[in-house]
Amino acid sequence: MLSIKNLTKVYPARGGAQPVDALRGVDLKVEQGEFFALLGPSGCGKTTILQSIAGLEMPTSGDIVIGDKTVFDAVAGQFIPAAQRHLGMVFQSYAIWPHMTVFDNVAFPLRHGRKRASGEELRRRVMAALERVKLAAFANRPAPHLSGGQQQRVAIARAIVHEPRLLLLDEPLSNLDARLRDAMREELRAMVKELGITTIFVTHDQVEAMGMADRIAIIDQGRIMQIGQPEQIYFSPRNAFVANFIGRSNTVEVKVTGTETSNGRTLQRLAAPMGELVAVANPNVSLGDEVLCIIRPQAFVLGGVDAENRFEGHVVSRSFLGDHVELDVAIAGVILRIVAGPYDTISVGSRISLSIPYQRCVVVARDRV
Amino acid sequence: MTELREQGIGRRPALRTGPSTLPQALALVGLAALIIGPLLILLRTAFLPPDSFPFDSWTFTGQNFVQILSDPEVPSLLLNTAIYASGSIALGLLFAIWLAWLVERTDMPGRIAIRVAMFTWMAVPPIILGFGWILLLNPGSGVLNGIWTQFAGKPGPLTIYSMWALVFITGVSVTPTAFVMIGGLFRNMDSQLESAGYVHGGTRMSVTRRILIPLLMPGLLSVAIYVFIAVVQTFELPLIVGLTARIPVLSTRIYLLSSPDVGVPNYGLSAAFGILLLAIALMLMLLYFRVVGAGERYKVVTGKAFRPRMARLGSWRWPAAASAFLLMFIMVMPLLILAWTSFLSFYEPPSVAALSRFSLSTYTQVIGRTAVQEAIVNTVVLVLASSLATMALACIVAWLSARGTGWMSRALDMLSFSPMAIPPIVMAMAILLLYLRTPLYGSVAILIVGHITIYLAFATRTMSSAFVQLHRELSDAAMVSGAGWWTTLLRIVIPLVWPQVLNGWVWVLAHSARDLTIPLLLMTNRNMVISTVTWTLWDVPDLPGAAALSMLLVVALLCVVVPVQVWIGRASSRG
Repeated sequence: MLSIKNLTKVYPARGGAQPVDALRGVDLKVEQGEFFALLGPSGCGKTTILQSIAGLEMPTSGDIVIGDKTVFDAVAGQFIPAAQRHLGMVFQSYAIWPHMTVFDNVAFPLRHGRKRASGEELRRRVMAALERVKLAAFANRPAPHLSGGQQQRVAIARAIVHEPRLLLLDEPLSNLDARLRDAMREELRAMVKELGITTIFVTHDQVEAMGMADRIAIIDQGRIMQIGQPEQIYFSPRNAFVANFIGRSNTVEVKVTGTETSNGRTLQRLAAPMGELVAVANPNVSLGDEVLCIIRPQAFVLGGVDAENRFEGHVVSRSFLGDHVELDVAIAGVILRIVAGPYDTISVGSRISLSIPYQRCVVVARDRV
Repeated sequence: MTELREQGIGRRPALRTGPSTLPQALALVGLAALIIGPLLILLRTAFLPPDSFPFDSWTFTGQNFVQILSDPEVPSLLLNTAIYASGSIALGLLFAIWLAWLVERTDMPGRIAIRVAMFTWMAVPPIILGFGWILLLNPGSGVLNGIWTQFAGKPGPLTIYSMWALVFITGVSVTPTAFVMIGGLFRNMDSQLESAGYVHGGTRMSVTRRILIPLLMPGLLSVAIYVFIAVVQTFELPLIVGLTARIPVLSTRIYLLSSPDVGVPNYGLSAAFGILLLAIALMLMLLYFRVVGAGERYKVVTGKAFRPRMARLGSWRWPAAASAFLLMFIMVMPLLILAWTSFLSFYEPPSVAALSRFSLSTYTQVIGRTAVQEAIVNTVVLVLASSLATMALACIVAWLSARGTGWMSRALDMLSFSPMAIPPIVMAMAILLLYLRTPLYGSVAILIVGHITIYLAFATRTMSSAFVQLHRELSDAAMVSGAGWWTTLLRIVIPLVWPQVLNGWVWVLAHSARDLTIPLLLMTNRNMVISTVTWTLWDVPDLPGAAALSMLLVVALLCVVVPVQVWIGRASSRG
């Protein structure tokens, strides 16, 4: 449905500053009907990607194809303006036009867009869109007389009323308060799935991305770090950045010392500062490589009896956070962050033994600096 | 194949996300014809041999500039201009700062009335103020001199025809402009900055000296330079007062050379003086931008609503209010004497006895004249056409330059802003030279073209600052919804900045109605407007007639300006 190839964007140097590489070769494909999230810290380039898809930003090179139509091709000098791309978009500020009623806001794409409707047809489709966001009763209300959550619904109705080929959402939940955000997250996903519109969704919040998207692209410094389903990204991060951005991780510097097969699985032996670790093998690293081993704080089994990856340490600090307890455990001089349950009574200074199942240790290459 | 690819890459910079190239190119060509065309002719004329016309020959000579440099009067001309401008600024700023502080930062009674009066002052043409002041300060018969004589028993020493009187009158007349700008400075200052000073042990004196004044200084300096430019360019008051007083300044010299009472116009020398004035104005403009800085020019107002600290005046409230209203009274005095004069058939100083001779006969007589009726029609056509066309052009240009990228939108921005540095008298001169031998000369249309050119800069500036403050996503949303740049401008952007559009429109309308520069330089007996007719009546002299027509103009403008200002005030407090 959407295919982006080798997209780059360079903002020219201004006032003595260096040129800024906002995008450095982005490739991605989104399938028909998919709910796809672009996730990354602020300034990573995710909004630039969305704006390039919308036609609000001119990439420097690469090409973008929506459906079977090339909307941007730097080599051929082709650029279809935003108005002709037939998209729907929900903006971060919602961009509800305050001088119009709710009805007029939603009717705008049908009145002035590519595929127009009028009269009874227009009314029917606008009301259907408002019905869908449960705002039919507010049709004649002036747009400024709405709460934040209602404004967001109007923005959604406006973005879907003309049945766009692609729905773009730019941090749609970031301006809502926490409680409303949780409710809208599920509602938005349910609605988009029901309509079957291919949706691209930009967010910096990993919970939103995990909870809503079919697939996620993790972006950092203008590059895609990893694309995959939420579980895939969580359990098998491709590098330390992804591991730390999605959830938290202990990152241990290790060296590959051996490879072996056990129960049909290929494992790698690693020399870590606190002793030897066994992890599921990463085929891209070889014997003798200096690599990283990533262990989630939730991966530890306290007092475990496994033969592999057994360690003893003492608790350096403990913070009680209600739903869980965070422990810093020193093992042979290395401090590891461990999450325990609130009912595990472990005090600071006590010695504990723990084990890490090898499936929960992920080997990644060191980031090239 | 490779060639094709290279062509493709070569074409790439032409692509942009905003409006397409065609409307931008059209706007650019239109602006260039409007602004650069006359200036080129002006330049050509300045290098013309004496006693010839712009299109007559191809000879270039620097003779006019040699004449200016060797003219012994030129140094005193420049000195006069400098003294006049700096004196008026000093006085105008003093009044404006005092009033703005009282209105914006104290609990003085009657602040709202003063603010409204200052904002509607644009409805009062400077030439009318000049007439009024002459009636008040005339050496022999001036009203203030008469009062002096009654009390002191000897003739009053006041005279309108002197440098100090010119400075005083101009200072008073720039006060409202300076007030509006300085009031904005006071209003937008975050009072937390002052509070922080008090909390950390500062006294009122030290906070004012160490925090308030340093913070306001850059703003005040930029206002001062801005008003200085306006005064150097001003023409009407030096014309009415300065000519009789024999205080020539640059702007009146340009006029006299191109429209002398006796003899042939010396367009070449006049144009050379025009270039000189233009150069001075340009240098001041560069200085202005240095002071203001690029950031300030497009300062985006934050949504934060500051509640400025109001100084409590206590027992000083009434003396303060008295001083403010005295100042207002001084400003209104010339209007009062004109109103008085307009009800009399023959001018006489105010007295109870003269009240019995009050009648509306002057008004009926003035309105009865065919020339005046024609002038009224011409004026209505002129102000409506020039204000509507200016605003339409300003909206399109500001929008194209705000949302476009690349060199064309930058060129649009600069070109539309450049008339700010071109003194109206120079522009009028240039337009005269360009159209002198075309059928357009002598028509109302040429006045419309002139007013569009000189007011475009202000209108574009107003609109682009309005557009910059508009959240970008509001227009992006329309584009993504499938609307082109024109629909977006018309349906989304203009309705959202409607108060600013109206504000700009009423400003252009009022200035177009009160302007004497363009109509006077381009005057023939076919394109008289109210300002030129008033000037002619005054010259006759038919003082009551001129006064009656002035009052009609002021009242008509007030009828437009006041309701619009009130509406804008309501609309912006609602938003």
